[in-house]
Amino acid sequence: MERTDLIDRINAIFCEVFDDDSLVITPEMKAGDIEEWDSLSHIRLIVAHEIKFGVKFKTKELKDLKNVGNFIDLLKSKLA
Amino acid sequence: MSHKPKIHSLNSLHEGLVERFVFKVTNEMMQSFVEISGDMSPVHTDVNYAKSRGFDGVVVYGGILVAQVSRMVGMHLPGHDALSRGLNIHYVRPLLVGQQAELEARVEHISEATSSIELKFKITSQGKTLAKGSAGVQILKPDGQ
Repeated sequence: MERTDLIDRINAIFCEVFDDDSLVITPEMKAGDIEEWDSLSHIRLIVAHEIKFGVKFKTKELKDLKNVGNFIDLLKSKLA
Repeated sequence: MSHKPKIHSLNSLHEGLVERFVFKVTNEMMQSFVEISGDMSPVHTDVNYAKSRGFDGVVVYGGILVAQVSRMVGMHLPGHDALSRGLNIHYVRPLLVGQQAELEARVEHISEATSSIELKFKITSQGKTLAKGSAGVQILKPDGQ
């Protein structure tokens, strides 16, 4: 999958979870940049990616993430 | 009906695990739901009205079916340490008071990283689907400790 296609699909999941069709993710984006990004929406976000991409994350992998760009890289590594 | 919730940790669950139980909604349960919800819509309270609209009797409140899903989550999958994150339900056919129905739920996805599970469920009666949906549940003690 091309990186731009992957980002489009991830962006669509973010829009759905945060109920905001105008949301545009960037690699530098962090949880603090989205007002609705709390612990519950974080779980929904992770679970939605696991189900839609057919992957599983480990607790440690998520703890090491600093921003959305790290998350995209992690997901891409699981799809490789 | 057992009054002790099952105790599942993330490790004791597996994708594909199925739990089911049979239930019937009584007039007393319908009356209790009126008191809880304040919903006195005639299709749920007036048998003559319900029959005039083509039903064989008063239709069980959708909220009571949701309550049965709550029972599944809090008593069976995963039981004791459940915290419901949300659910989607689609009503397909009406359930009538006194009609036996079965709720079946299946673990569709286990997310170790978030200590949560996704369930798919279906409510059936006499081989026909009455409602179906999905539920997300967090396990508050994922290691069972």
